[in-house]
Amino acid sequence: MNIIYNIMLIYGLTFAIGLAVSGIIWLLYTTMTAKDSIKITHRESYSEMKRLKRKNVKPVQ
Amino acid sequence: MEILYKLFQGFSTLALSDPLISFTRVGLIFLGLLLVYLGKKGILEPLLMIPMGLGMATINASIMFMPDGTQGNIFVDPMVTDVNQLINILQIDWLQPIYTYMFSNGLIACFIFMGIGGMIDISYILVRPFSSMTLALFAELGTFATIPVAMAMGLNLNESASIAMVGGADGPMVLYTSLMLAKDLFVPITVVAYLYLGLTYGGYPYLIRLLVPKKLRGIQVTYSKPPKPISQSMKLAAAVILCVVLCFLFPVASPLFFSLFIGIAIRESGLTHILEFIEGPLLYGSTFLLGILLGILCEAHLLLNPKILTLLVLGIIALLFSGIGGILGGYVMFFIKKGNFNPAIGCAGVSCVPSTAKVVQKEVSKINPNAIVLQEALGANIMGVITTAIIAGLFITLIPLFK
Repeated sequence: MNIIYNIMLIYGLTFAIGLAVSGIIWLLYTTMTAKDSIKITHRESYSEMKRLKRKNVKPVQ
Repeated sequence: MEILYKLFQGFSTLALSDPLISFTRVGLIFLGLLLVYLGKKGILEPLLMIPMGLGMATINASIMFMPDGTQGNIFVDPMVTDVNQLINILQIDWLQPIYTYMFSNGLIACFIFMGIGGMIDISYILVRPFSSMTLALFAELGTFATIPVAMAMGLNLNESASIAMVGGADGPMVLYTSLMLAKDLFVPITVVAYLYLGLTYGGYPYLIRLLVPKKLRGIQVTYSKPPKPISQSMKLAAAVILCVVLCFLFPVASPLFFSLFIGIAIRESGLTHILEFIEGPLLYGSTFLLGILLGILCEAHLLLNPKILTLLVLGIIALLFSGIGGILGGYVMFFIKKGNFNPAIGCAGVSCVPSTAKVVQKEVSKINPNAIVLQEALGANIMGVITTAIIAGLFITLIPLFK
């Protein structure tokens, strides 16, 4: 009976470690692909270009 | 007559042995020939079964009288423990160097793991780690359920844990664990494991047909949005970090983790010439030598262990429970994903890369030729390898403490 309890304990531990490893993998994947979400969209890049153009325009003497 | 006995020693040893040994030798010769036939027909894995079968037949035919009058062979002596005796045998038995320097220290298992690492793509486990891991964890049911059964059948705890590892369906892992926990039985356990792993390919389709109704077997898994693309650098970084984390957790299984992840790292770092070596000559060469050694180790005197029948029964129980557990995991995912999951994929959680994944795809395609589940099945397959290595680490560390 004690052995069955110990075996179930190891199986439980395997589940815990397995899910923790999955958590690490998920965290790695989320972190590594996160830069995609801050990519500048076309509209944003167009307005950014206009802003830079305005900034670089030399004042008319 | 005595000259004839000395001349044809294979026959004379057969005639002069204990009848049980003689019958076992003849039986093993025929079993070896059958394995070669089944390997050639493609029913069992030919790369392993042809050298193993021929080795088994040859070794049982090649028993001779040794200078001290005992019966033996000039292939290998796995039972030698004395260092001086080992040095002598290394110079006589032609396979002894491979056995001593590659097999009994687990090197061959690590080489095979490197080759497996070189073949697998970890994209899917990076995208959907939880579903792959859930399937793999359920598919380890046999590894745990077999231990109490083995103990009830008279094995001690270490031996029970070693034979139960067959449930993980990972040959190198069974070899490594039994080497660590039950050195006396590691030859028959490894032989039983590899024999059954060849049968998995033939047995699991029936289990899938029995436990998964046709309606569910044809389900194509769909996703609302496509996964973000993963570059090779990302996969390399993930493999390196995972390897270090897992080795930190289980130093006892670190040779296996390292071997698996170095294979993945080489694949993802674009070292094609090294990759060609590890997934070609290294993997196939190691599997070929393993097949020869396993066959040669099936000598009647060695295999005639009273526990062998118990091991044969337990091996089947372990693989059967693991298959059932995997499909149970498939049903769990089916309910979690509200019907958008094919329960048959669970069977691929039993590692045996990539055989079980191919079995699942084949069975699904028979019902729905348009359904592609190979990605999901390979994800569960790869996680199965990682889970089995985790369990090997847990068993090697914890089982000796429970005595």
